[in-house]
Amino acid sequence: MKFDDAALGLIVLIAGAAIIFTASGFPEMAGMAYGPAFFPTLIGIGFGLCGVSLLVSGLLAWKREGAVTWLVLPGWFNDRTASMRAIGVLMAVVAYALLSNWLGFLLIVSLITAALLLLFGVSKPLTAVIAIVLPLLLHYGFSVLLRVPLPRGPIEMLLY
Amino acid sequence: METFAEALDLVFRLDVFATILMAACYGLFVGSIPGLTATMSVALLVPITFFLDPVPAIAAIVTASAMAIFAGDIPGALLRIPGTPASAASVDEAFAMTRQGKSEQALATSLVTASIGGLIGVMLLGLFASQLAAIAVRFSSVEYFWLGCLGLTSAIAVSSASLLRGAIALLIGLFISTVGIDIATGHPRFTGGQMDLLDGVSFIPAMIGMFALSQVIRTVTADLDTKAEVATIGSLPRNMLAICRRYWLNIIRSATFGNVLGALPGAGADIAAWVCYSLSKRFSKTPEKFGKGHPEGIADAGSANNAAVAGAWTPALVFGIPGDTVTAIAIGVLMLKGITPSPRVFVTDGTLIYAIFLAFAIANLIMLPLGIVAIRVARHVLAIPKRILMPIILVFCIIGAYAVDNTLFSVWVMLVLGLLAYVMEDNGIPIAPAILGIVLGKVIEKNFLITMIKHEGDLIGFFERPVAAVLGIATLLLWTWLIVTAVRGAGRERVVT
Repeated sequence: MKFDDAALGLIVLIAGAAIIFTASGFPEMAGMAYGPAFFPTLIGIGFGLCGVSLLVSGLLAWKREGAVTWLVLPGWFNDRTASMRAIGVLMAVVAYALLSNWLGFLLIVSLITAALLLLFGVSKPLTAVIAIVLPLLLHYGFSVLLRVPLPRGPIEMLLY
Repeated sequence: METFAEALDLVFRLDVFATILMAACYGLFVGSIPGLTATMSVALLVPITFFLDPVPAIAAIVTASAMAIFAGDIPGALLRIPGTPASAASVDEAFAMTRQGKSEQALATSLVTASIGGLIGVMLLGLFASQLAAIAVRFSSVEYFWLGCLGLTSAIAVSSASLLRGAIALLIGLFISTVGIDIATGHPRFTGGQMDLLDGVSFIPAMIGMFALSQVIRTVTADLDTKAEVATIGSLPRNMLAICRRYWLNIIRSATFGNVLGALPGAGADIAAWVCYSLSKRFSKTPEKFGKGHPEGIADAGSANNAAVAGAWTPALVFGIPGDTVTAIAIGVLMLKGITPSPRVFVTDGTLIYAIFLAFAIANLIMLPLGIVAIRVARHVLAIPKRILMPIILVFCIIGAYAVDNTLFSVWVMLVLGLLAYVMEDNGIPIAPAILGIVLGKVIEKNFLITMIKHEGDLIGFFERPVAAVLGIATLLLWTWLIVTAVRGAGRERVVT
């Protein structure tokens, strides 16, 4: 996802302005010129300066070349298989974040692994083996050896 | 000497050795898979080290990073794909040798120079760090403020990207470091009302997202289906001896220089390897052989990058200022274990520090036998399809992010920062300065505020103490130089076009 210099500059500039605006609402420190807003404001100004320089160089290039592409999407956006894979990876993370407390660690990890392996074109028998062995190994490693309280679900309830 | 004996006691234990051995195999595995970096190997290791004692935990990090940096040379030599960015400098040289049927000579050079370079690096680390600490004990908030600024500046100055993009990366990191409760007034900043953000953006999930998740996305969209064809490899030990005899001067020179470069914040193993490779060419008696399959450059790059791994620990242990992204993560782990890096760490936790040095030395010694095994099994490791590897790595990312604080919020942090890092890299904005910004942002702000409170808001306070004045002037000069070269560069560009 490559932005043109001008577009990137604009984004950076807006981010800087947003930081300064938010920081202006922070309380002052009694008797001091430097409070909680001081550093964020400096960072915001830094963003602003970088944004303006990028914007200017982007606009100069625009003037020179007469045309500008604001945003170049990565090649895989038009490639159905590749974009499905990227979405699959993101959905897997979201699925863990949203569902692990209901489904439990073993089930959610098994489902995520199986879904991704199948999506990436791994054979069904191999997928089944990995999707069963990996969650169990990880569960043993993290829950038993390292004592991390992993999310519990129906399968964990049955097991112990 | 007494602390040293105690350190020996701490390290020469079965559990520590078992940890080192496992971390070594893990580091070799991750490093030899193209696209998986040494930093990523450490970021994914942290959730596990989290539950270990301090010595095995740090030993695991040290070992994994040293091994991964060496192992990056394996696919570099065999496939012309550097396993980690630190191997990129000599990859063409090594692959040219493989094409001439001399892959064993290229890999033997990488291995033996990595091991010796690492050992020299550890010796220099032990020597410098305690000396530096003796001086640094007298440092106050002002000196730390300037050191932080100097660290940030060198992070942009040495970054391979443009100054402007380096600066943006740094600012992103600094901004992330301001999220959470303000240290002076306790006012929550940029939390958006999220309770989970009051403590700031959780560092380990952020690292896993920025280094591992972004790489997983890149791999599944780009080269999930590529298959590797690996050449057969001849005898290694004989070649290793020959290389040592022929290039011992190169190895010592590049290890020393690489160690110093590694100590600069922002300049890690990759930059050390590039610089020492080009120096090697300049000082070589046969510069015309470079690029056509000549082991000399590999010897320099190989010893430099592993010496840099040790060098990065000098500022990390003495000042809490990371020399590279691996030590940035390691500082986080040390803090979790109740050890705050500072000049006093040699007095308060001296045993532990020497234990770290010992672990480093052991890691570089066992690198020789394990490295030979790793090179032998490389053809099988490189044959593991990425379509199987990537889902497993992704699951590790998720659990790693989750396990550190046991909150699902960390999984979201990993996702958001992973996407941010992906977009940053697509736009030529480097990741390393952002990491340093996250680590150093808090250091700089805290020491700035402490100094201001001490001097009642008078900015002269930043130059009153002699060491502070020197550091401050050095920082300001560096800034001026950077701005002047940037403006001149822009001016020249305009003249050309």
